[in-house]
Amino acid sequence: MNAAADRLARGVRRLGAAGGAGPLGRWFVIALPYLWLAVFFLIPFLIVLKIAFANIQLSMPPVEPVVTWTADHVLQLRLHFSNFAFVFGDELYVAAFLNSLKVAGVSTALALLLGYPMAYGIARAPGAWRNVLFLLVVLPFFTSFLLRVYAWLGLLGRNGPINDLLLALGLIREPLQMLQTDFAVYLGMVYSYLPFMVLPLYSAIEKLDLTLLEAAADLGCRPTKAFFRITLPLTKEGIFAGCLLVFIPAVGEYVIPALLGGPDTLMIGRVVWDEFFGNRDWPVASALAIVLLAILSGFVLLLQRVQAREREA
Amino acid sequence: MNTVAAQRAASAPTAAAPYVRIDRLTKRFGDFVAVRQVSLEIARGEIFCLLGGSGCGKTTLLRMLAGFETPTEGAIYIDGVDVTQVPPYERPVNMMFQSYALFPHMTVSQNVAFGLQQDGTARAEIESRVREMLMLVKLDGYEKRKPHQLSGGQRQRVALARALVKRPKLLLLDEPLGALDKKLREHTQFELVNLQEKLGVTFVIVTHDQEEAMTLATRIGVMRAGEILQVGSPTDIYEFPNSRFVADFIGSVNLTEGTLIEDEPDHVRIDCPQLGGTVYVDHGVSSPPDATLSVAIRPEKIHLSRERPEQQDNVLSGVITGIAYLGDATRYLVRLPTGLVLRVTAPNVFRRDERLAHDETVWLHWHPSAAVVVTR
Repeated sequence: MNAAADRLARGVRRLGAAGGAGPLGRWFVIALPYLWLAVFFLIPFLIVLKIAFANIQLSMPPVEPVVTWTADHVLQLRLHFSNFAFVFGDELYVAAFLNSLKVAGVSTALALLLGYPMAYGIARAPGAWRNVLFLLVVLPFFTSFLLRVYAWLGLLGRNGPINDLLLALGLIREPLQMLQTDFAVYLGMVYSYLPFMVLPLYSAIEKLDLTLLEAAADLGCRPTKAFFRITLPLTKEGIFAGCLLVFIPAVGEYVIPALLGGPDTLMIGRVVWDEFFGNRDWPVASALAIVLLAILSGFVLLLQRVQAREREA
Repeated sequence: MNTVAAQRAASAPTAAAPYVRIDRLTKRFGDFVAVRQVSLEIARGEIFCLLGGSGCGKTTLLRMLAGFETPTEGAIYIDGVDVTQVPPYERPVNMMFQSYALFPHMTVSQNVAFGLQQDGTARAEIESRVREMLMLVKLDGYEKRKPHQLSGGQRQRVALARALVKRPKLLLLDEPLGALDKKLREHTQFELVNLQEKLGVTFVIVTHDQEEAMTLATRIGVMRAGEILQVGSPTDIYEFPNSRFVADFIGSVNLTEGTLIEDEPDHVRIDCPQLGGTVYVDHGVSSPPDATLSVAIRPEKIHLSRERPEQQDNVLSGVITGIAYLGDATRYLVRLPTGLVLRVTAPNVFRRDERLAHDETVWLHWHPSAAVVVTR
């Protein structure tokens, strides 16, 4: 332990010496998160990548090794692309991907439609109120995500308070089937990820110079039009950030569709789970995860390029 | 700087019907009265300056003209129409903001075109008017730039073009030169006046800078604590201030208190203990007898000499305690036997001169018309 710490410190010192300019502290500050990411993200990712190219076998772990050292002193690297062929060949997986993208897309859109007015209201609220409203947005994080999703199970159930209320009001005769529907999944998604939408939007809207709106009004622009011509374009960065923060975790979401969705709510997170734990097919599960990562990286890159072009123009 | 003011005064419209009429306007924010019972008339084609320190209510008054604030009491008429309740986007008024408030996501020409697009002007006309306007403010060639790619002076001109392109009846300018450095400021002052003359738009300018007000304005309204203390041409405000505050606020002044000892219709004599003598003024003063008066004498109206001047009145003697050579003029501080220190400015007419020195005893004198008597 101590030896490792010493080695790390020496390494950092060497980094500092190599950089020449910066003081040691700066290198340390930069190196630490990268080290963290390397250990807890890059290495696991490489393991998953390796498994995605392996063959299934009955053992523990249930995969053939990719790199082998044969008896006749040959280092063998065997990459099985069959897992990816299988993933793209099977309609179930393609459908799961498409459905995940659809659910995430719709959830993101709903969160944006709901979150923008919220963020706007908070940003424009008088000083003392702003802090309270802001706290209320963050407050759900005080409770575990899993517990909050479980709470919806109770709320949406056949004998839950929502059905009870609707029955009491005489709006319905029979309890509504809300659990195990797409409605419940969207509700859970929007509910869970709304803060991630509101926070970046809030910081973007709050930064907006209000004299710009006065200038627009002064030039004959009505408030609604000024919103679309001034406020919306100038808070675009917040919209991009919020949508990314909601969309990316929503695509791979497992808990919400598993708890609130029905058997036909096909989402990739659940498929990966089933492959991994149900079928014990680690290679296919890994291949699915890699494809998912590739799709999401594609989205992020696309968005970054759009933003970069915006800034240049 | 006074040439422009003079030029403006000469071309000022005479006795036209008021173009902008502000009628007993009051604005309260909670308990705070920002603007109190202000009435004002501004003629067509005028450059009217609201001058005052920060928090005097000048900006609130301007914002009420633009429609951003609703008056608590009173009314605003523009060209005979009551616009008090008209929202800003329907007023025939445009404003140039202190921060310029250019739309950062739009190019220069998009910024200028914005106002015309709101009126549904035809595309071809928008283009030609934007081009024309950018030529006028000498920004042709910058159409495709974004505000952050412009210098402060260029941004100011875009803001001006954007506000003028709609040919408003009234242009409001909030500290129009405040963000520019001194050299650019002087240059822009003249351009602004030229532009105003060319277009014939009525300007209302808010400023805390008295030099800016003097240079630009046909008339100035001096504000304090939500009220307008005096309205007049720059010359009126400077030479005939109606109160201690105005005399002190505009330019530099020696202020002292005194009581009337001789009150004739054509002249008065005031005893000023702080000066250690009397001041003779060649005009009458309307004031109750025994009232305490203030006497204001501008530094440049006091003459210094080594020899005792011939005149009998308005002569004092003192010791020079401070000298500041400014090139065009020299400022002196002269301490009177009473201990009061007077400020005196003397033009440096000759290149070589036997200049007055520190600790030298000098005579001060001024013309009977030089002193201004104010009663409040």
